[in-house]
Amino acid sequence: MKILISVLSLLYSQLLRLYPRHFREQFADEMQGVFEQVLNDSGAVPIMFWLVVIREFGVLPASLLREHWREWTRATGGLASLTEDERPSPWPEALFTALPFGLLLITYVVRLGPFTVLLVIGLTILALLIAWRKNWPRWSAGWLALMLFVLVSYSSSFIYMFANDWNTPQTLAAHLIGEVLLPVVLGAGLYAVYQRDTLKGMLIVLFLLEFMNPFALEFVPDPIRTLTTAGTQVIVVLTAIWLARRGRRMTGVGLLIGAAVLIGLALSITSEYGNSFTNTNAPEAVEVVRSFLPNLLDSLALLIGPLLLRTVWEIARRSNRLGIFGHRLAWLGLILMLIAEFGSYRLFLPDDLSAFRSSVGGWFMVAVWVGVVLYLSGLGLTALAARRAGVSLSLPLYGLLAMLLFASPLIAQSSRIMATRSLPIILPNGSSLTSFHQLSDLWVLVIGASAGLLWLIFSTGLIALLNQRPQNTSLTTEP
Amino acid sequence: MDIQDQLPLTEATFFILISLATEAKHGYAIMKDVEALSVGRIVFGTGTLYGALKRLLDSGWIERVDDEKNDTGRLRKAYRLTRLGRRILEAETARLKALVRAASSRIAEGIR
Repeated sequence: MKILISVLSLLYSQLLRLYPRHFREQFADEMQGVFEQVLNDSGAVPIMFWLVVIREFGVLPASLLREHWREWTRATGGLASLTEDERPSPWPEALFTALPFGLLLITYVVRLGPFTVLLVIGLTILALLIAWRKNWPRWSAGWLALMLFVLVSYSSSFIYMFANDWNTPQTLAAHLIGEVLLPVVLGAGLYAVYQRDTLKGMLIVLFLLEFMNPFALEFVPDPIRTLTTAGTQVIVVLTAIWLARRGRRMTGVGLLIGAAVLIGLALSITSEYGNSFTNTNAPEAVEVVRSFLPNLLDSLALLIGPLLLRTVWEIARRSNRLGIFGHRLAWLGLILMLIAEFGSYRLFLPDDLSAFRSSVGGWFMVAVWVGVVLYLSGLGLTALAARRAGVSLSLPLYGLLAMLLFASPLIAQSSRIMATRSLPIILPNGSSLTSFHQLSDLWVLVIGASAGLLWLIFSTGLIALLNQRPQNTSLTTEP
Repeated sequence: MDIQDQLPLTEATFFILISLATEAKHGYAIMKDVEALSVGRIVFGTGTLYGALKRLLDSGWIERVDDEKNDTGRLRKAYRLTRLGRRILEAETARLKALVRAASSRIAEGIR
C-alpha cells in the first residue's frame, strides 16, 4: 500500500504542475500534503481508498480548468493592469514584438517550401512556450498574432474543402463554422487579451489588417501583388514597432486607424487597376473611395469594437456582481445577434442557399430580436449596478456607448449593405433599399460612409472620456 | 462594499466559513470539519477545497496565519476568518434565520 501511495503521490505532484504558476506557488505544497494525508487516512479500507483516489483525481480537470480560467480573467485584480500596460517598450522588446510580422513579410516575398513553413510554425510555438513561462510579456502579442494567422489561414482552407457545392447543408455548416464560429472564438480570444492588456490586444489585431480587403488582389498580376502585400506588411511591422515603443493606448488607437487607412488605400488602388497597370486604366478617385470606405469601416469595427466592449467591462467590474452579470448578458446577446444576423444575411442573398429560406428564415428573425433584448437588458443592468455601486458614470455617455455597440454589427456589414444595396432582414421592409436605387452611387456611398465615420469619431471620443480613471473604484469580490 | 451584495453564499463557502468560525484550521482539518458539519453531504476534493480557499483569500474573507511543519516536514498553513469574513457569515446566518422564521410561521399557520 505504501508503494501505491507513493506512486499516486508522485503522479499527483506532477499533475499539480499543470495549475497556473501563481496558484501553484501559493498552494501546491499544501495540496500535496493534504492529498497524502487523505490517502493515508483512507488506506485501511480498500474500497474507501479507491473512492478517495477517484474523487481526488476526478475533481482535478475541472479544478485545473477553473483556475486557468480565473487566472486568465484576473483582470479584476485592480486598476493596476490599466496603468501597467502603458509603458514604452525598450528597442529590443519592440523589435522582438514586430519580428513575427517581419516573418510574415518574408513569406510574402519569398516562396517558402514546406520545411521553412514548419520551421516558422515551430519557432512560433517555441516563442509562445517561452512567453507562457514568462507570464505573457508584451512581445508575446506579435507571436500570438502569427499563430492566429496560421490557424485562421489553415483552418479556413480546411473547412472550405467540404463546401464545393452550393445549396447543401454541408455548405451552410462550412460557412457557419468558417464565418461565424471561428470568428466568434477568435473574437472571444482577442477580447480576453484586451481585458488583460489593451496594447497587447491592439498588437494582435494588427494581423487582421491583412484580411482587410480579401479580394482586392485576386486579379492583380503577380509582381504587383507581391509588391502590394509586402508594402502593407511593412506598414504593419512599422506600426507594431511604433505601438510598442510608445506604449500608450490612445496613441495605439491613432496608429491602428492610420495603418488601416494606409493599407486600405493601397489595396483599393491596386484592386481598381485590376489586371492592367497602365495609365489608361488608372482608376478615378471616386472609384478608389468606393472600394476603400466600406472595407475601412469593416476594419475599424474590428479594431474599435473590442475597445468599446473593454470600456463596458471596466464599468461593470467597478460595480458589483450585478454589473458583471449584465456585462455577460450583453455579450451573450451580441453573439446571438451576430450569428442570427449572419443567418439572415445568408438568407436574403438571391442565389445563396435559397433552399433554406422558407423553412428557417423566421427563426433567424426571432433569434436576432432575442439577442437585441438580451444585449440591451445586459447593458441596462450594468448601468444600474454602476449607479448602485456609486461608480462615476455619465448616463448619457453610457447610453451612447450602448447604441454604438448595438450599431457595430451593422457597421461591420456596411460594405455588404452598400455593395448589394440591401438592408439586413431585421430592418423594416425587408431586404432591398428600393428608395435608394433612385440615388446615385456616390450618394449611397456618402451616406454610408458618413454614418460609419460618425460612429468612429463618437467611439474614439467615448473611449477617451470613459477611460478617465474614476475616483470611486469599489472593486468586486467574487468568491 | 455592501455585504448584502455578497449574499447568498454557496453552500460550500458557507460551510468553510462556519468551519473557521471557532478557530484557525489547516486545509485537511477544514475538509474533515465540513464533511462532519454537512453530515457527509459535502466532501471536498483537494483541488476544489484549495480553489475555494484561494477565492476567499483573494476576497479578504479569510487570511493565512502561522505556518507550522507537519510530520513530513512540509509547511502547513492555517486559515482563519477575517473581520469581513465574520460579518459576512453573520449576515448569511441572519438571512437564513429570517427565511426559516418565515417558512416556519407559514407552515404552522397551515397546520392550524
